[in-house]
Amino acid sequence: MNILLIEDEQKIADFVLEGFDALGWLSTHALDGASGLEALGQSPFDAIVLDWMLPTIDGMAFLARLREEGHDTPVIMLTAKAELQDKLQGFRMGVEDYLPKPFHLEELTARIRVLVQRRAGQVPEQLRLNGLELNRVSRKATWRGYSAVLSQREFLLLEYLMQSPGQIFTRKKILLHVWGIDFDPQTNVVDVCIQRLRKKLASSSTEPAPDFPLETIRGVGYRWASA
Amino acid sequence: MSLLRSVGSRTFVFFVACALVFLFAINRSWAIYFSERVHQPLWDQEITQALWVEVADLAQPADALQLRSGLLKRIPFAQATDVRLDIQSADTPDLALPEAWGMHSGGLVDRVAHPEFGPMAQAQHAHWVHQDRHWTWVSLQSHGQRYHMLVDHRLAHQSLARMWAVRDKTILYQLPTVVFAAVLLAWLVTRLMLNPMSRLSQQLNDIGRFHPQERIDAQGSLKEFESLIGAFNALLDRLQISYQQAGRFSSDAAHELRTPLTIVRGQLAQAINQADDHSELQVRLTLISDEIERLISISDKLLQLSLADAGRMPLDAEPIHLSDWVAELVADAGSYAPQLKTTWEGDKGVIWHADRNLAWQLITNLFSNAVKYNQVDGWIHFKLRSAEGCIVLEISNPSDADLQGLEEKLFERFYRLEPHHNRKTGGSGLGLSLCREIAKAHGGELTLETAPGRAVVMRLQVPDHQAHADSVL
Repeated sequence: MNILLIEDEQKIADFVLEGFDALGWLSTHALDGASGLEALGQSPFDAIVLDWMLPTIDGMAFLARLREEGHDTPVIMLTAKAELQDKLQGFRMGVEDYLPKPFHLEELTARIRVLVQRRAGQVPEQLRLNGLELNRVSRKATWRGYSAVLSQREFLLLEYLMQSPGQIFTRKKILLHVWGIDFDPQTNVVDVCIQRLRKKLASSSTEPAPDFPLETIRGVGYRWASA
Repeated sequence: MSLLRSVGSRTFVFFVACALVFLFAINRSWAIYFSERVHQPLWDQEITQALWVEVADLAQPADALQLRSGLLKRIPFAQATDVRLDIQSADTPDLALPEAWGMHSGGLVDRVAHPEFGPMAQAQHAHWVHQDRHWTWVSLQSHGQRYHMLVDHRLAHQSLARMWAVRDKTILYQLPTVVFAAVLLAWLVTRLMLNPMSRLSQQLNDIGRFHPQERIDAQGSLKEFESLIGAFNALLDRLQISYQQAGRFSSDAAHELRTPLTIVRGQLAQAINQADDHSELQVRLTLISDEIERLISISDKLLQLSLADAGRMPLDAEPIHLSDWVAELVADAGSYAPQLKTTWEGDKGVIWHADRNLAWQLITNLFSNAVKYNQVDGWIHFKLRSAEGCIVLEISNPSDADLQGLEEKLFERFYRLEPHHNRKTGGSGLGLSLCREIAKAHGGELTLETAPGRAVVMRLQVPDHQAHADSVL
């Protein structure tokens, strides 16, 4: 996967690029719209991550030029402006997706993946990683011959973790993404859900298998083991 | 006293008071005018005239009987014993008569000539006293005779008293007219004065509620209001400027925070990933990350609040299955808040046209409050109704906190209950005020109801646009 990141804030670019790197993606960084257009001429990209407020040529102008020149590369807009007007304008100009700052890196990579796959017409029904198979349609998970149909929450949680192997997710992040709540419910709802997942997929024994790829990082959160 | 707080009632009281003063003044001026000093000569004149007329009518110059009966008819209130008559030849000395009748002088003889009734006509108003009665003596000369008449002075008093009675009655009859006139005048004046005022206040209201950019036009309003309107417009300008500044400040601040927050969030996530698993550093970084998330949540709320203040809360309305949301939240509550018994009742298939993100924020925020401020082993009950173009969602829960009298305060920004309550529950103190703004932006309202010994009820009431659209169709 080859991504063009156009972001004028070097420090944001740093960790985003590092994240792409960790996933084994190729990436090019441009600090402004003009050098972004320049980079576009040199190599083809699978997706463009575009900051909306940029020096020289801003996001909107960049987009116009991009479409003018006949590129149909999918674009994700990053912006500090969480206003509806900007969002709508972006969509009108052919932005595929939109992510307000501050964003989670995992969310960005997950969206890029979906965009690219959708563009290629191949959103895989099966997610297969570390020997675990997850079916996105039937919500059926299979691990070492055990299979179980997951509840909506269990599925969302598993998919979320599996999309970014090797990344640690804190409970707070998981709560926000899977349950959509940004308050602390003062209970171990995440842990309970993880326990249930483990039990469902390692069901014959009461103890979950030690090499089950869903890792607990004590006092921090959870991680899908890197392959 | 509260009755007097309206301009109408004050004007009415003012006019009634004016009218009463006026009536009293008329009454007094009559009294002054018709005091005995004025009345006495008139009375003298009246009885002298009576004598003169009757004497002129006499067929026989000395017919005392005819004269007497004529006079009794002509002098008001006169009884037979009130009038004494004598007819003598013209050359009898004047003063001799009352003394001849056994009267004695009680004081000065006040002799007043009445030349209009003949050269010799005169009234002597003197304190002629006889048998404890005071008499007025009148005499005139005609037909070579001298006619003497003594009239009891009581008659003069009676005549005056009758005059007073007539006066009082007249004024009393005028009283309803005067009160009616006062009411009418008060109403007219109040209308004249207050109509421009109420127009002005209507304009002010409209400006406050719908058109904060507009200003009042001083044209066509009362001259006295011009300076008021000018001052008000200037005040509005200043307010708007400072309001915009404050709003822009918090919106700019929230915007400016986003870049560093993005960096910190991203870098922290990397650092957590790169730290040794299960190390103390990793746990500490997680704690920092949780606080950063809180900071992000606060800055998001501040930004949304400042947008709401500027009337620019982004509303990307779409149909939301509110019943499903509530059912889902109640089902999930079993996992986030297993200690609480969470239930719901109400209409299925309620659809609310709202911004998905804002609506979800609103509902989950209300739910989180119900969890936070609950009792140990308490309960939460959702009630959802849709009727008459209105969707009402009530979330009730028992609470240990005494929220009486705080129904409005809880919606203030950064307002928090007593400190110990917060440390346990966290939160920024912005959640409820944001919820209210979200409700308002959707044309609804959010209120809190408390009653001693009863559960706390948070009520969200929003218009049901769908129902409205259906009824229009």
